[in-house]
Amino acid sequence: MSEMLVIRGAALRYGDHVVLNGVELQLARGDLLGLVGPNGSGKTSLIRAILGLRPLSAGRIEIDGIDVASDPRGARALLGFAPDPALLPGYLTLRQALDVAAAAREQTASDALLAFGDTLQLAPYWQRRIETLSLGTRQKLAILIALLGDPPLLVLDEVLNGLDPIAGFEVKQELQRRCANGTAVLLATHGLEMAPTLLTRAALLANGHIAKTWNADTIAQWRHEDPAAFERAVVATLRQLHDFRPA
Amino acid sequence: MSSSPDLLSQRLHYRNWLDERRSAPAESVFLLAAGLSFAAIAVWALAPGLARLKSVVTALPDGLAIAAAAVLGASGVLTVLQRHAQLTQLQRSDWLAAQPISATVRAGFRRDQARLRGWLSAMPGIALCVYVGWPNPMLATTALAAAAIAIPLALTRKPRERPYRDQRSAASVRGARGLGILGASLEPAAARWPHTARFAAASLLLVPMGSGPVLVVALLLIATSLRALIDLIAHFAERLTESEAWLGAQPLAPQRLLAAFAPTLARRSALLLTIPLLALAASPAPLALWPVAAVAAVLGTLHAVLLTHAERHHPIRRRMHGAAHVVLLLLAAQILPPLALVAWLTVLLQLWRRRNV
Repeated sequence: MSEMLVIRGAALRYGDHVVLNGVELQLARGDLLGLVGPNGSGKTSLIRAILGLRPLSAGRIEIDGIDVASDPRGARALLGFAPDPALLPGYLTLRQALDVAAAAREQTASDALLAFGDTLQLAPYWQRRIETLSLGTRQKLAILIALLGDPPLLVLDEVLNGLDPIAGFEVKQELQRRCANGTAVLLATHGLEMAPTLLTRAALLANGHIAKTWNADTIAQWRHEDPAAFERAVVATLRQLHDFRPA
Repeated sequence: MSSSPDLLSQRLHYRNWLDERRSAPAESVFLLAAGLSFAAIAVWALAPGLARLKSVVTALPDGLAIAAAAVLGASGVLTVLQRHAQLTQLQRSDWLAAQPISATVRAGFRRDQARLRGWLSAMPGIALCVYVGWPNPMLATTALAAAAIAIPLALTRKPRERPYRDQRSAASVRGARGLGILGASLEPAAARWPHTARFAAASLLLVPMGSGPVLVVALLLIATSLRALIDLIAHFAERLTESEAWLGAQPLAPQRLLAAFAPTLARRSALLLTIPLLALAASPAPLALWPVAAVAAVLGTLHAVLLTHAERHHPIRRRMHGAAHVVLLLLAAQILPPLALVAWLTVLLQLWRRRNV
């Protein structure tokens, strides 16, 4: 499989404070990789670096061969990202915000995407202003924004938070469907319990680097034999890292 | 203890602020001293203006003066409506929304806050009427009566919830589509009217001795338009920053985002610049007013663009702040040399507290 996302020696610091220190990670087409880690371990900082919103102090990030640092717009055209629901513009309606985000990609929201929105039970909310919507409904919009234009790489940060059971189920199904069609997905999450049934790989970010990875075979084995094993493995690894320091 | 959790929360907020001030006594004393210095200078600078204004108002026809007083007195109405609607919206989903609090108690808090804001907004106008209208009590009575009737009336109006249509197509704002929706969604100037009106009323203090009604009206128009222009630019900078935050991960060139706002911004700026130019041309204003108007517009733009928008951009933050500080120092030094250092230190202190330098 060809690599969709390649992170080599990524380092990031805020002043004297080291957040990322030599992160190495690859994501192939069809991968659904779960990025897990304690609060403050640098997951969101790593995602912002992948998006080209936070310049690295060392290392390199490539999306389908495009260097994010030298061509951030070219790289962003290949990825879909779900913005933080709190940052969505409260003064626009849900439908308007979707159109604005589509225009930012020089596209329009496809019928298939709108239909998926209806599947997520957004039908009563299209013409409602975002400021009047619940966290879950805003999260659904953020997910639709990530899916605009069917990008080959999806970067998602805690997108399953706040979703109702039907929407959560549909989003997971959609992610798996897209992965089966060759989309690569990086999903930062604390939802360890659903990992074996959803992910194909997992990586633990702690102390500024990837402390451990679990491959597809291991995850598949847990899926069939012991779905709770992943959660135990993550907790055990974190407990071994006595010197864990929040970023 | 108050039975309103909103009120209690507000009191605790003030108490925490006071505690914070007490924990940094040197800084608090400096800020207080700086504030008092500025207030003293303001009174010193405005006193001749008030005397001039008194002569102008005395020369105005009674009907026009009373109408102006009524408008000033009722300026609190829009403030009340806006604050009431804002609090109603906030309380629908705030952290206390799920608590078993009586709806009457929460509504009472909303009304009290909106009423207070309305009176605070109307009082400067009323005070001005009392001062300039003396010994003719009609002006003050008109202003006070207008506020006393209008503010409670405004509170009887229930904020409306926007209706929604159950459809997923045809997203547009005033005919704009796509990125253009961002520009078309800029609030109209009327949304910030109470703020603008206060500024325009204060501009009356600049009216020269013996001016006729034409110049007074022209000056009001100029002040209102320039304030609305400054508000428009500040609002644009705010919206641009917000848009960058949620669209940051899209493959969007910065100039396309700017272009989304350009048509609305250009149209409204042109209108808000044409009004003062026409007013200046129609009035017997001295030529000196032209550069004053131009400097006010430039200062407003600098304030809005440099300090509101540019400070969010890390790589240029220090240079932008440096430039803004030099401009501020130069301007202050031209007018009040001894206060330049105090003004600069005050701004620096505030920025340092916000960890922006």
